[in-house]
Amino acid sequence: MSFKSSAAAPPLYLGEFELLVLLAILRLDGDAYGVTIKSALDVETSRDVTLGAIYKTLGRLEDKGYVSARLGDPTPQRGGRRKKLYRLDPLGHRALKQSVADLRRLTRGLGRALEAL
Amino acid sequence: MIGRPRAGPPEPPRLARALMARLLPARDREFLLGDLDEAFHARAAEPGGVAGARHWYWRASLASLAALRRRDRAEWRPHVPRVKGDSVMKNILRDIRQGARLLARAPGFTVVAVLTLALGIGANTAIFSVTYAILLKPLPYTQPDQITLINENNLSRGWTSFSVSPANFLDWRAQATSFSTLAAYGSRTFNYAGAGTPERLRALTGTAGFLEILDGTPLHGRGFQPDEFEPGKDQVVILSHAFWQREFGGRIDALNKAITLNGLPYTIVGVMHDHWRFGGRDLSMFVPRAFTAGERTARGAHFLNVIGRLKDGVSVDAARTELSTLAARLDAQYPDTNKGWGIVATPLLDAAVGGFRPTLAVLLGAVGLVLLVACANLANMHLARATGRSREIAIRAAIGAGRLRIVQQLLTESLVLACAGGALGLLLAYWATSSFIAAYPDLLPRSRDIGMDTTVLAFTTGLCILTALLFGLAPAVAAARTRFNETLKDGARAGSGRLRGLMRSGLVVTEVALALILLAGAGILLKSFAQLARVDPGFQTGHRLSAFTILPRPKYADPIRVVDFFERAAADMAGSPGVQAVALTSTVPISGNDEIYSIEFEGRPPLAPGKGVSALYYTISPQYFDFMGIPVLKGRPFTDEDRDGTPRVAIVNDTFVKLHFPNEDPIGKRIRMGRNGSIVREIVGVVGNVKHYALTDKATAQMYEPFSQAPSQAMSILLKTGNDPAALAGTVRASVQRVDPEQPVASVITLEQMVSDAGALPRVQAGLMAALGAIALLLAAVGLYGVMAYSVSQRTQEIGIRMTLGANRGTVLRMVLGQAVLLTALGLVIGLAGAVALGRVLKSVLEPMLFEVKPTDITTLAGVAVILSVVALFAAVIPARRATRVDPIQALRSS
Repeated sequence: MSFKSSAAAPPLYLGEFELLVLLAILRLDGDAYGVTIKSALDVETSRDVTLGAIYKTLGRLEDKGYVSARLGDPTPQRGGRRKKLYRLDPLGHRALKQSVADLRRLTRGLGRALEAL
Repeated sequence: MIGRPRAGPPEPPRLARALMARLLPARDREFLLGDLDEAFHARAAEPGGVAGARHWYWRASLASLAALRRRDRAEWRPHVPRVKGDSVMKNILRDIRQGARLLARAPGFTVVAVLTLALGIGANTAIFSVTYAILLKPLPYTQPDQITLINENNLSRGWTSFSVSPANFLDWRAQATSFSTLAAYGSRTFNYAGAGTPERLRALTGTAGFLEILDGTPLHGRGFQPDEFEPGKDQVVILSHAFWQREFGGRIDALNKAITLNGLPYTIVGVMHDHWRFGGRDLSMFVPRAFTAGERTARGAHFLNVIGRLKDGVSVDAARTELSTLAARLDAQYPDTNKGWGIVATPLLDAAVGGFRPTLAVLLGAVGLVLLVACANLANMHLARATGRSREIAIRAAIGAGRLRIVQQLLTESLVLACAGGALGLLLAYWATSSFIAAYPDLLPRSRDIGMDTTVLAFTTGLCILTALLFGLAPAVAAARTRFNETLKDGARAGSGRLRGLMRSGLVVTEVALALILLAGAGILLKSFAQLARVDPGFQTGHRLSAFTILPRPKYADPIRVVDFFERAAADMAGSPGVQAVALTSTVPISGNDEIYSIEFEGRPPLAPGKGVSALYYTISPQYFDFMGIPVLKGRPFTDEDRDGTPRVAIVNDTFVKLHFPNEDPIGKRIRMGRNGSIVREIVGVVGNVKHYALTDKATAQMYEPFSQAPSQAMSILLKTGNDPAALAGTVRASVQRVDPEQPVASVITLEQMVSDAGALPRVQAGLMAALGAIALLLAAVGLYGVMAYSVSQRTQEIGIRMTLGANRGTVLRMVLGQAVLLTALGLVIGLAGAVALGRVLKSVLEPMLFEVKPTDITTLAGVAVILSVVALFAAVIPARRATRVDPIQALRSS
């Protein structure tokens, strides 16, 4: 399924869960790793996500070049294991911006209709 | 671990962590494990505590593992919400409903499929139920494995199993330590007058412990007491349940009454349980076996059966070792009588049914092959159907069904089909086994145990599941592997048609090969049976009737009275209307009875102990040879002049002469033999050989004495008529009772029936195999037809183009038939190789079942290959002719 586009830059797609994870990383501003992303999603969304699902998505985002990671220090709380801290890359920024803009456009003027849902 | 103080801070479950450490993908392992630990510690600090946290750890880690291990689904697939209660079970139920609906919508497919499966599963269920009942079900006694039959053998004389002499039995009972009980038993008959016409009753007679070994505790009354096994005190009887019901209407007051058996009063001391089984259906009573003083020392007369119960923990092999030591000791101690005699112990089940093992094994294999052919056919039909359903399946996939889910649905459909076929097959099997047993009540041992019990039902259920997997899995996986997008885009034409075409061709080749193997088996058994039917038994059977009568000893103790009885009865019968000839014999060939005596030759040095010779023995009336159509080859037959008081004479058969007088004239030679081995007899004639035990017998030595010189109380009266011999049964009874009103006639049977009964097993084997072969042939033909018809329908366009470009009908016909010939030929080659290989591997199993045919008989193999080719060609001609009638214009337009 190819998508016809005249622009040189390829369009950037985000799955719904990818979108949520990217937003969580943006919110966490430098402290985004498994546990914090999970609790952000737990608190702010209706989903009960597993760490595995988050890592799966993070892996994919990393492969696409949307996010990059650095390693944190090991702590005793983590059994001496390091954290993997994520931040958005420019490509991720663009994808996020595009998706959010799409959402905004689609929800514009739907205020009342959405509230009625 | 509860209550045990834990040192240090709480730790996550070690097993879960170890599992994670092993199974998580390397890329995320360290960080995910760290995250799990961190979250665990956070939770452990909360209310709910460590236990809640550990529980969470397990759940979170397994769920994470599942999420990471799940194959990456394309992002375009819409998220199908998992509705609460949408369980696996619910899916299955939905699939079953849907499968049933779909099958109902394709009645043609369904009917053919269910019938095919019913044949396959039914045949397997039937043969399994018989095999299970005969070979596998434990015998209905306590610890049946401990029950052992013990015989003597004399391998130097070629007797692998022989009756036991009383003195030997008494020594075994006194000396063998492997058995908790050893008992001798036998069967005897009583003349019983009762209220109505006199009849002959069959009784089991056993020494102390016999009934106990076989759990034979009476329902009413008591068992035999120790002193009742002594001569003179043994006139006590336990009645069988059926006889008690019949004669005494089930009244308890029958106990302690006397009944008259063979003219002597017997006291009824007990009534046996209704469900007690041993030694045949026609058993009326049990009496003690008391040995006379003469019998107690008789070591050379072998006439007892011996049964024993092994002590706890003693194996049959251990008992065999002990018995062979015992045999060696007796051999050394009594060389005159025991030289060369060994002891054989056989577990009761083996003794009862061991001979049926090869037949049942071969039949089980054959029905297994039939089921495989049926499965191949079903798989073929499924593949064809899946092609038609590829759009439906692609749509299912597009709206969110995973491949596994599609396989699951298709397999459930197969299972529905298999279960329907299985249910019908169960009915078929029930009908087949019960009508078989009704037709051949005595052919199979333990036939009362054959039935559809829980084990058989479990077998059939398992078979249904296995069958569904066998014929459903490959088509289901093939269907699920289709590239769905292409299918949706392409329209009606299937995606992976080539793969399916190959699979279908492969299945047809398999079917042809399996059918050939089955047909080869059937052909070989049929040929063996045909050879058997051509065997000359050595005597005539047509229009001849045999009636067995046994005179009670006290009344007929005097031999003169015995001779008088039979001569008067024979004369009376000869004068009856419709009777052309009458003769007497002590044993009728093929009847299953025999008498064997040792022989001594006058003028030759006595044979070394253990080197003795013996022959089958008959005492007969002078008319016997003429009556039976046995030719007198040399000398003369017996005459009425050979009576008590005239010189003692004997007649021997051709084989006897070849063995014992190879270079001499036997006439005039003098031998000692027969019931009274001290009397010297002169051989006056030589007659033709007779098959005695079975039509497959090798020639054996046989000898005859005149009845009036060697009378026997047990004789068969033979009658010949111009009409149906069975109609003479009444004549026989009337004549016997005119001579002695108290004397019953035991069994009346035509000689034709007797020979036919003896050949029943080979006939049934051949018939069953032929039926299975025919089913396989039919299924293979249907399979080939299906593949050819489908291939023609798929190639309609191509054929149209070819015809437009100038191909004529002949070319098209050749093209289509060529494909069929290729598939058939491949199947034939594989099948022939398989048949030859199987014949070699199963040589030892098959050879005892076959008569003068090798398991790899070339002409039979060639014959069945020709039959199969012809049938296959017919199956292919119909679709091939359809191909030639393709209208090129129509074919091209329809695309």
